[in-house]
Formats: sequence, C-alpha cells, structure tokens
Amino acid sequence: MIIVGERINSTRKPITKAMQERDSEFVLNEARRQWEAGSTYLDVNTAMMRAGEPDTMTWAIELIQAEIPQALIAIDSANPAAIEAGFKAHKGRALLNSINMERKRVQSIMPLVGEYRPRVVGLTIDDDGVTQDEEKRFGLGVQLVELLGENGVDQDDIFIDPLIFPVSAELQAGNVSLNIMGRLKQAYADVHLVCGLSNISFGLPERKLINQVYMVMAMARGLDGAIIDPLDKRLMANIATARTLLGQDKACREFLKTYRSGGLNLDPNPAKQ
Amino acid sequence: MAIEIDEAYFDALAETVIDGEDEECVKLVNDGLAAGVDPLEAVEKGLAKGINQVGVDFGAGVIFLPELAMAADTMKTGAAILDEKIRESGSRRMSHGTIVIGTIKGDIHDIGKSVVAAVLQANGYNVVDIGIDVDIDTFIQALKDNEADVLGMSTLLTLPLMTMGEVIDKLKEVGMRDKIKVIVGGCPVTQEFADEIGADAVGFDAQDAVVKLDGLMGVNRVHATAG
Repeated sequence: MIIVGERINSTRKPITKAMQERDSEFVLNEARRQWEAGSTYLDVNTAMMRAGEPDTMTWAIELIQAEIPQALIAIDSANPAAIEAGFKAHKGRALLNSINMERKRVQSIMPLVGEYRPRVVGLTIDDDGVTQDEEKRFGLGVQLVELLGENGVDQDDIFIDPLIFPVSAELQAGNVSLNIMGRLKQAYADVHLVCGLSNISFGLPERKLINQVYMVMAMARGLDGAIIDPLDKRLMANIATARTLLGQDKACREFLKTYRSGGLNLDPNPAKQ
Repeated sequence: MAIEIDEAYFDALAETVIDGEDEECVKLVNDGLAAGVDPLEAVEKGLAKGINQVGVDFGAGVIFLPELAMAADTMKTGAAILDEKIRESGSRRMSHGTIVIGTIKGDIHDIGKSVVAAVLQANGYNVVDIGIDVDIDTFIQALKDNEADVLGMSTLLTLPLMTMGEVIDKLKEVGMRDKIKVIVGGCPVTQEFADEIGADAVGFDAQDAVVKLDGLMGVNRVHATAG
C-alpha cells in the first residue's frame, strides 16, 4: 500500500502560514510525524502561495529531504513552474500529483514528465470537467495510461485517481468509483490506483468512520494507494488489517508487526488491554 | 373533503419541508388551496417556516447535507405551486433581496454552492442558482435579468480565483457595481483575497453567508448559532 501523507497542504490554514513565514520547524514536524507513521510519499501542496509557488516548493522539498534524506515527495501543484522547481530540488524519484487529460495541463506538464521521469498521479478529468459518469471516467483512466505510456512512463509508475464524490449528494457515488477501480485494475494489472478519500464523506457526520469503511471497500477492488492523513491511527490500522485479509501480507507479518508496535491498539483506555 | 386552515395546517406544511416529503407537501398545498388558503400565507407560515428551521438545524450541525438537500427540494416543489397562485393574484412574496449565485468558470463544484443557496433561501432571500462553470458574461446577464441585489460567486479551486476579480471588474465596466453587493466563498477564499479583488464580503460557510448578507442588506434578526 502506497501512503501519500496529505498534511503539508497549503490549503490548510496552519500550513499556509508556515509556508508564508518559512517556518521550517512547523513543516518539519509535520514531515517527521507523517514519515514515522508510515508514509511512502510526503505530499507538498503549494497552491495557495500563488506567484510564490515555485520558490515555496523548492524551499519545502530541500528542507524536508535535508532532515529526512530517505523521504520522497509528492509534488502537488498545477503550476508547471512550481512542478519543475520541485523536480529540480528533489533527490530520488518524486511522485507528480498530478496530471489529467485537460489539453492545457497535458501540454504544459507532459514535457516535464519526459524530462524528469517521476512517478505520476493521473486524475480522470478532461476539458469537460469532472463527471459522475462511470464510462466517461473509466475511459479517461484508459486514455491516461495510454498517453503516459507513450511518454515513456511504465505502468508500475502510474497512479490513476478515479475521483470520489460525496455519497451525501449522489446515491451511487461510492459504487461508481469502486466500479471504475475494479475495471481499471482488470485492464491494467500493474497500474496503481490511488484516491483522495475524504470527499466520500462530505456533508455527513462521523466522516472518519465513513472514510475508513470506504477505504477497505476500495482496497478490495484494487486500490493500492491513498492520499490520507497517516496520523489517523484507526485508518492506518484498517489498512494494515485489510492488506492481511486481501492476501497482501505474507504470514501476516506486517499485521503482527503492527500489532506488536501498538498500531492496532485503538482502545481509548489502553489499560484494559 | 375540505380541510381546516389553522395553525395545525401550517405546522403540518412546515413539517413536510423539514422531513423532505415532496408528495405529502404537494398534497397539503393542493388541499389547502382547495380549502381557500391564502397562497402567500401558506408560503410564509408553512414552507418558509419549515425551511428556516432546516437552515438553523443545518447551521447547528443537527441535520446534515442530504437532509438539507431534500428539504430544499420539497420547499421548491411546494413553492412552485403556490408562487403560480401568488402571481395570478398579482401580489409578491416578501424577500430580503435577490441573489444570483454560481460556481465560477473553471470549476464544477456544485454542492457547497447549492448548500449556501438553500440556506440563503431558507433565510428569506430570493436565490437564483445559475449553476457551475459560469462565465463572466453569464453572471452579468443573470444579474440584469433577475434585477438582482447581490452577486454570489464560489470556487473550491485556486486557479479560477482570479476570474472572480474579473467579474467584479466587468460589473464596474458596465456601471452596475454600485447597485450590486458581491459576496464570495469557497475554501481557498480568504478575507485578504476578497479585499484584493474588491468583494464586499466572504461567506466562510452557509450560515456565515447569511450573517454577512444580512449585514450588507441591512436585515436585522437574531442569527442562529452553532452548537
């Protein structure tokens, strides 16, 4: 399971402030905690910095990789200059978050993919915007895999995001995304599936519970990447358990390791266990 | 069989909105009209009372998005029948003002904007929701067509933010800026940004939008608080 730690995101107010003020300690603290919690990539989103995006991206990546040399970054921007600044600053192989099928996006970002060879998240969006239609989004996933392939990206380096919509607004929103995941996994066994989970629960109470349940359902349909808060212990415990149940954990070793490290102990009153 | 038009009738009508029971609402409205209810009164003491309660409960976190959406639909369904009768009688529904609301060009997020629209409607504004991915000229035209008092623009994305500023510039260009209050919203929208593009207010959530709009329109009332 590929975990992209989502917390260093400029649309979160404390992060906006930390980025504006170049508060190294604040950003590093978020990085360290997420890394220790098991992130595969640390997402760095700079969108709110607007004209300052490229400089902020460089600053954040250099800062994090100086502190945690083995950490890899998910460069989260729609701004080609910020993306390129991120690639230049990054040591090792970054994850680009993201590209989609919009003509302008493809034109401005695909050349950078060719030059810097990152792994790539592809969103099932095109110039018509987002759609609730399963066929259309599945088709966009196929187009993305093919187009990225033509540009030299291996299937194992592609992460398709089928998009998730709130089930509070659209009855079948959960099923539609699950179906797209299942179909893409069947068509391309090596391509990864990733999603930003939390949209599913928008507009409802107990959002964490909804996110956790949906995550497990999606994993059963082939989801193997998630852009989440790895500090959510219950969510991480759900992921570890689901992997074991789906036969992705030989001799249940990861499950037992997580158990021994206390990662499965979700009782608010640990004295009882 | 004719029904009695009394407080219990209006309460029952309000209840159909709160419960999001379209069919029940239509039936009560038609029964009421058959029994000679004043359509204006049916809206104000029945439907509007119900949707107001829904707005308060939503703001307080007692009810949730799907319930709000159902209630708004029921309100619309019932009001469509009654508004027809009100027009026929030559009178008008009371409103605190007309707001044209939409998600700006380049963004197709629908739900947040629709929630704000429903809550504003619930609080006595005449809301014209012109949808998503709305370009500059469509906003301007809708403001003219509806003789609107307020322009509401929303986006959840950062790229379309600047287009909001362009709509305000266009309002100035066509000489409408003095007549129209502008309120903006969506998660990337800050007070600083609103000031920068010359908007009159930011609604940080649906209830906040009501408070800010009341301020702009000079509406005095006690606002529901969350909790």
